[in-house]
Amino acid sequence: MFEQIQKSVRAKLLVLMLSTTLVALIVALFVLAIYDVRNYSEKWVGDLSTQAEILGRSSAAAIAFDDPQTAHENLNLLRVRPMILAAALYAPTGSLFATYTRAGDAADVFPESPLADGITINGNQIVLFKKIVESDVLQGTVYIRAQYELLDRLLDYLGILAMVMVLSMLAALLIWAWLQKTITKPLKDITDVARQVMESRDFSLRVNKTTDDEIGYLVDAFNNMLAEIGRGADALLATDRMKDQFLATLAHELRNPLAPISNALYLLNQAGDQPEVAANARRIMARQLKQLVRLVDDLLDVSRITTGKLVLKKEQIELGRVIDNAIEIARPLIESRAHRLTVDIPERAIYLNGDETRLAQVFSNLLNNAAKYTEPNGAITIAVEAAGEDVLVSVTDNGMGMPSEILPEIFEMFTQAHISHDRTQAGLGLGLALALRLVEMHGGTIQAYSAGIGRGSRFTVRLPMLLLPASTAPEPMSGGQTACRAQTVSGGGQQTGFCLEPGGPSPR
Amino acid sequence: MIKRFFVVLMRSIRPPADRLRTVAVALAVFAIMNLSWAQGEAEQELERRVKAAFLYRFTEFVTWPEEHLPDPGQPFVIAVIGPDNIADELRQVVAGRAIHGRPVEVRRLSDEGGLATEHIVFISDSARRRLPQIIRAAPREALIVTESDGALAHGSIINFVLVDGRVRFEIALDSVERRGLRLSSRLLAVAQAVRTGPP
Repeated sequence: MFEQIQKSVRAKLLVLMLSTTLVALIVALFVLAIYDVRNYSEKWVGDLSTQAEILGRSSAAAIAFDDPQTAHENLNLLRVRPMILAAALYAPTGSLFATYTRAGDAADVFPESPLADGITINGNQIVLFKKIVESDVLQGTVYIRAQYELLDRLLDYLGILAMVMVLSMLAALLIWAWLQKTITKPLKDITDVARQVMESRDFSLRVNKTTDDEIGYLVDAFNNMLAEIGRGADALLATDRMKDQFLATLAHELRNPLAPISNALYLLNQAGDQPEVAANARRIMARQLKQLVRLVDDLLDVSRITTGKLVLKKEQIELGRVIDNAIEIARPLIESRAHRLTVDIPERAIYLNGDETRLAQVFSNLLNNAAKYTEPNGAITIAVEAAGEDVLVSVTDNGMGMPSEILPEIFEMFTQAHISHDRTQAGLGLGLALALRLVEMHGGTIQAYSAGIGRGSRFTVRLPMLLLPASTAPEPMSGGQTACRAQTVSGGGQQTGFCLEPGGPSPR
Repeated sequence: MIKRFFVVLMRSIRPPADRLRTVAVALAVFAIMNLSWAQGEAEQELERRVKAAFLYRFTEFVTWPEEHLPDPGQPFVIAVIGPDNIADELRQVVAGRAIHGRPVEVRRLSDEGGLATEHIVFISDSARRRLPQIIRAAPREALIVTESDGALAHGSIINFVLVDGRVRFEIALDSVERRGLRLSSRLLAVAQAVRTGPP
């Protein structure tokens, strides 16, 4: 029983209400009873004294003129006070003069002679003697015997207490039922849902909000926390899935070059006197090895970035050279897929404070992606443009593009826009994530745009320019602000470079 | 008169042979009668005593106008017109007592001749014939107490009567007012009858 109360707010509320009511009632009735009993005693004694006084004075003449009948009539007036059991008048000589007994009672035994003035309480009866004195002359004595119902009154109080207690307990129960609906019921709802969540790990459960008070607030907070935990759990699951997928991809990517290498090795062994076969085998092995190295390098970079171990070797660098390096890195893939690359770089040299190798890695990643996700014979453009104190480098292709809803996610690690894409072109999904981290480490931003699937995509890198004093700035390659340098890499592997004058013919 | 009746009774008793017995019976009857006479005497004695006590007690329930009360130190006078014995009885009752803070003096008068400044005038039944004259001669504020039938009609205020052998009294309120006195209602409550005006 006690344990049940300890464990239930409802039971505690009930006990609280009932005990509060009970204590308040008992205290109130106890105080009232004491007050009333005292009051009753004082009032009754005072009342009887007054009665005796009046009786005595009105009967003084009757005693004086020896008129017991009048005295008797006076005494008989007491019949309107049924609490008075008996009364008597004594002559000044002490002899019994007139008596009265309450109607219906057996004739009483009266004291032979009056006792001293005063009040005697004897059980449930009170006896009073009062001398009648007028102008210092004793006229007689009044005797009154009446009921003194202290015990009866206490019993009455007990009865009232019992009745009031039953009624107030009923009222308390009603209030408790109401309270239970508004307080403990919502609490119980929360507890139930909490227990369910703990048992089933189902964070999609919600508590039904029924009140607008603190408990309602608690319900809201509880629901929000559940939602938060649910989201967290979902995110963890998604990350987990992504990692699994990444692991599969990684294994696949690592395994992919091994078959050609193994084949090439076999060919190399069988080549014998066929030098062109051996050369081809070596070329294959070299290319596949390079792919492997690139994969492992990417992995190492990611690991360095995530553990914060990647350190940039920042120095003053020229953007043009960085882009040339990037094109060099990406050239094999671009060429192999017969894309047309357009390079649009202002003639004026633009200087940055950064790590040349890493920035080249960023742009080559973007170029590689463009080449990878564009059908052969596509068009890829890399353009540089000054925007205030920043420089914008954009890589645009007319490839397969992306649906707009995945744009925010493509810079996440292990994310690939085209999961179902032909695996021969697939990477680890690390390229863009790496690019983003590297750009951010240079204090820049990177953004992706696509009009939709099949409508190409554009990646724009914004980097802060290094503003050099005019004297220290190296001379531009050729004069004229509008002069530019453009380069086109044709699908045939031929490299053609030419400079375009403003208004001159476009390479396209 | 009773003795004479017995003599006639004795003479009429015959024959002489029964004389002795007759004498004895006569003696017995005489003794009884004599006893009853003595008893009547005792009753009268008691009645006088009660009336004397009542006379004194009336003063507790009667208010005289302050200006009519004697100066402090001067006696409060009760006049008794009639036999000596009631005056003597009253003197015993009031001995050592005061009325309205004054010493009490009881004067016995044989008729209205000596009336002057009395506060209570008691007229015995023996002076019944001169009742109207005495009442007229009494001081205006005197409480007139009588013991004769019909005395109230002559201007008495309180008149003793015998009811079942007990001394009671009747009161004439009109006379009370005429004499400027005030009576306690408690006195009226124990009165045998209260007369409010001429019948």
